[in-house]
Amino acid sequence: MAEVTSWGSIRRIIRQSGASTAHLGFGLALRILECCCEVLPYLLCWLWLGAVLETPVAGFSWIADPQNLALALAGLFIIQLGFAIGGRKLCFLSSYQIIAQYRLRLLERVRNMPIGVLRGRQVGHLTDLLTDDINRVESIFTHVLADLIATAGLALTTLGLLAIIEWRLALVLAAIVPLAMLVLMTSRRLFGQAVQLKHTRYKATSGMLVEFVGGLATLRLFNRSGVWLRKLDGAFSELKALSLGIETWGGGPVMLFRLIVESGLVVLFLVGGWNLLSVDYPAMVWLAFFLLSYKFLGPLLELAEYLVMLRHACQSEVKLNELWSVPLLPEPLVAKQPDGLALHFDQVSFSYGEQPVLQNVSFVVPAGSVTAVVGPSGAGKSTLLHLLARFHMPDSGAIRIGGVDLRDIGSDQLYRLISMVFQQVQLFDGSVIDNVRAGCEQASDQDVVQACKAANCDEFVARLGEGYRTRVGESGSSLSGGERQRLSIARALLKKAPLLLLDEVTASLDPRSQYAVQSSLGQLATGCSVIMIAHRLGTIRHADQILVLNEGSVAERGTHSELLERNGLYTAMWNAQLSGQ
Amino acid sequence: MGRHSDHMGVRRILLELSVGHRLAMAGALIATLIAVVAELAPFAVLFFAIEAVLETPQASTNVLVALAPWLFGGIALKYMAYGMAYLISHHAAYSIMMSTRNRLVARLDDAPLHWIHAQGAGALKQSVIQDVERMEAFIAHHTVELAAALMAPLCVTLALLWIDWRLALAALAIGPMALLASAIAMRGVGQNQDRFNHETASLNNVTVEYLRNMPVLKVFCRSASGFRLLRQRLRAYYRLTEQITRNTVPGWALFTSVLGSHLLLLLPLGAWLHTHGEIGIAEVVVAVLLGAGIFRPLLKVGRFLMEMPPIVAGIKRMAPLLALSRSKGQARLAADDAIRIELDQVRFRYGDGEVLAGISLCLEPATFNVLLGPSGSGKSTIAQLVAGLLTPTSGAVTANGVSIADLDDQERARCIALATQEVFLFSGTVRDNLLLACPEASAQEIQRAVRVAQVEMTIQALPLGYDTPLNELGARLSGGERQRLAVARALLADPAVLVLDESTAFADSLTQRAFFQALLTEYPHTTLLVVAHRLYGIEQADQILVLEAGALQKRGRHDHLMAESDYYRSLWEYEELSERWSLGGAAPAQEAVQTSDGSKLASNAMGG
Repeated sequence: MAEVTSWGSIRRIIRQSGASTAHLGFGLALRILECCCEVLPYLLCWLWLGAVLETPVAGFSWIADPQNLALALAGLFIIQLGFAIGGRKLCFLSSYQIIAQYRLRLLERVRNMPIGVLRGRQVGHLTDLLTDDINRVESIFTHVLADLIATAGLALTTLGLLAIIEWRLALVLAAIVPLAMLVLMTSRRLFGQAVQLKHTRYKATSGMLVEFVGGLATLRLFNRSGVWLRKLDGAFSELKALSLGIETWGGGPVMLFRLIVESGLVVLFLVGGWNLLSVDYPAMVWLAFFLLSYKFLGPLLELAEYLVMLRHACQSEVKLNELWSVPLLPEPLVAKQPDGLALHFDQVSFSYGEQPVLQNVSFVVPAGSVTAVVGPSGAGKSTLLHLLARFHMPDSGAIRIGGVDLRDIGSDQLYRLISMVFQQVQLFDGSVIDNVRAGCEQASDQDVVQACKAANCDEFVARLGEGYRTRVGESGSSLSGGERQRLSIARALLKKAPLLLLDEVTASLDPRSQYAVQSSLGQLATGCSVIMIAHRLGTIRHADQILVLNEGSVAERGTHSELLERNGLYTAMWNAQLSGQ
Repeated sequence: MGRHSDHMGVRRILLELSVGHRLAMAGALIATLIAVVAELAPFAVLFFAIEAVLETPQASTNVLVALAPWLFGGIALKYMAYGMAYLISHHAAYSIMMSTRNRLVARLDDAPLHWIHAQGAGALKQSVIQDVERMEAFIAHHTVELAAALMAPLCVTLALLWIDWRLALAALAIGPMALLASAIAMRGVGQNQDRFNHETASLNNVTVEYLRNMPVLKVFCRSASGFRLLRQRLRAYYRLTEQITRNTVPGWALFTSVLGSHLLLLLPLGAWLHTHGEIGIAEVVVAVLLGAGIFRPLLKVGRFLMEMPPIVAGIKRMAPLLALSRSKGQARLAADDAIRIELDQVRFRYGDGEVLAGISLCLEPATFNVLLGPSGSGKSTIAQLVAGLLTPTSGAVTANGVSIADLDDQERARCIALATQEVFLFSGTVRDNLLLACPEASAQEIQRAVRVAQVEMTIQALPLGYDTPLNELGARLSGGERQRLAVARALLADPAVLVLDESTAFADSLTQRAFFQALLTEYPHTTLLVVAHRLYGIEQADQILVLEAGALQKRGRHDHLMAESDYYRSLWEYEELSERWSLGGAAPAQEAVQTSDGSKLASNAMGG
């Protein structure tokens, strides 16, 4: 993780939100004024002391009367209350405004990222970022920043007052603060390391627990859960040790910081006592320092706590900032119209992190033809479809439709052209009809029902509690794999897109569902260009073109009979599927 | 289980969890008390310093030097005592958290699977990891801070009383005022908090839903409308924060201002008393300084009240898990007997629905049994009952007359293995996963199992073969490959009874046939119960059981069922049809296909 600097984080948030900071600045100024009002009663006390000790500060002799003193204090209280209400209101409101903008912009950005970022286990990570971490960032502005600045303002105001009264002693009182800061600074690295260490183990333990819960049935079946319990207990005790480490490096230095800061008073006593500055101070000067020192030291003691809170929240900002730096899908200013629907992969390479997945893949799919993609698992078949759907961007090479690069076609236009059916069907929370209607927002209920009938959904939808109004998806009623697939085919049917991508659609279904899905697919594929990933070679033997993918490149290409004549990898796969007999 | 947990209050849970650490907590509180008393030392020192300065400013210097060690001693004692208090409380907190986690996962191990399933891995992780982590703030910080916040005002009041009782009263008078202000500040706080929590939760839900659905929404050009929904929620959330801010800020500002206004009465009264010659200057100044410490700590109590609800909610979430228990079976079977599984009038209810309505069947030793039926007919439930993962609502599932639920865990694992469609592979290598059940398996045994499960080629094609780690690669194995790996894992356990629940996801009819052939040849003594999707290979079964809506409709061998069961026959017809199908190929029939079960499928309009 990058070094966390709190000011950097705050500046970035403001810049990325694009919001105006005028209101926040004004609010913070009011908060500082509120703090000044907190010092003034002590100043009044000092002035009163001057009056009764018969060394009144010019113009303040009236204060000797307790009644006047009470009036002045009451006046101050009302002014302070006014500042408090105004400052807090402004700070909260403007902070929420800044973070609202920040959220909106970030979500807008996420929306324009390649979908690959949003698939698989990364969704969980992203979800954490955009809920928990963003809430923590919100708390920087709403809860930490204003208090931090107000507290620092109070300390500085008091120090300023003391400096006016006697600058040398003020300097003595504050001289030790840099030393205290040094303690905080030097411990910061160690603290950061301890936090990082625990964070890593914490996440690992979290993952271990999820694995344990997920695999519990399997573990019980094989009577292996005891081993895992011991493993988990080990991880928990490790967490305990690491947490104590954090407390040592987090809590310890803060204690030391406070001890040193408060020792400023001891230094003051010693310097004054030994008369190191060779100046004799009048009693009033000493009284000022006795009265006001704690208004300088007190806020500093609190400051350490706010700084730790701020740093903690800024760690979330650093994580979010990584999200800001994910490159967006390049979109054209003016989308170019593709000339026809012929599809062209031209020397396309793609790697996932360090691992190359596709290398110099080239092929052409003429409009209206069927292309099948086969090959061993891990050959890069699904990646091929994902690149075509712009889930990822190719590292090099180009994908063109009708002679126009996907980058110039733009996502909006591309997604009007393609339709997809995945092995893992994604349904969202909503009714059957909503899920299918996602294919075409303008479709009437009748059109949707028509599409469902064509995809052989009608029969099982009728069996559901509320028919087409039944809720499906994560929290909805349970549908079988075949049923979910047929719904997604209905969705694609409704969309009527000319390019169809199919990813191992009929992998493991019972014979009835399988045949139902197959006949729906037949409906869907009519008149489309189709790219289909298959592992049952029988289902694609009539394809216009079969691409055999192996280790990220096209090993063979041709029709079923051409490939059989070649006697290569395809023939081997075909024979392997036959040889079972 | 549920009823009991309702009565288990948060306090009782905390008390129960803190057993063995209470002495430490008491120690932490004593250290806190020392720190609070030490906190008064600087004020005493200041008192003497003021007296000295007022008497003779020039001679005061010696006094200051003499006081400095006392001052430093007081400050140092305070921080040492606080440090000690926090050290002890953190030790106790992390020990309690560790033992809580240990207990929670031990309970998880006992929990019924369907209960775990209903909770979800995410929620359980939240309980064991996040909710327990939250306890730290309460045990380690809040206890010490709360104790300090309550003891400090007491000590300060005593010190003020010692100076002058009237000054003490003036300082304390802020109390009722603050109480009044807090009553104003707290107006509607609970309600606001509820609304805020509700709005935060719904914003989070919409965000999660949006991220999850984005691929579909985007591909179907609906991402704008999904985003609109999210933006609406976001706007509603910020509208509420604005409303709450406007409502609560004045009250809250009043409260903090009043808490900070301790000089309002104290100083004029002190001045008045001094004018009347009742107390000295030093007393007034020290009273002024002490007054600051009387109610400020109460702000921390306010913060504590704000931070407590999520901690309490977390502990409440743990309650049902802590209340779980399971009676573990002890029974064993005679070692050498062949195992015969019997289901007698087994009923199984899940929630309101009846899944199995009185099933009786028998799996003879070393036979090949197949379960068929439409989805939702109860096939998987039978498989899990036989494997001992579920217990019947009524009736009996027995192995050689002993209820499977009564079997000792190790004994059950020795006799019965199950491989399901939902395969769980653990992080680790392919070999680690294969050897889960039987860590001592020999190379030959492994080879035999993977060969039978038709996964040998797949493993060989992996970059490191058996030593390929599955954590990143796990996702890259196809569903079928994962299932075959799980079958090999179950075979390695070499159980007397092997249950395969829709796990025969083989590429096609031919591989599936090969699998059954190899299984019957290599493991002739194993009793098989197969819940099958695809039919190829089951012709040779000793018993085929056709299940429908939780009841056995037909049973018998292939030939018998072909003659007797329309459903069975129609399955074969569909199997045939889909085997012949190919995309872009000629349709088997241009009109609607009429099959033996009388249902229709839309025409396969492939226009070949």
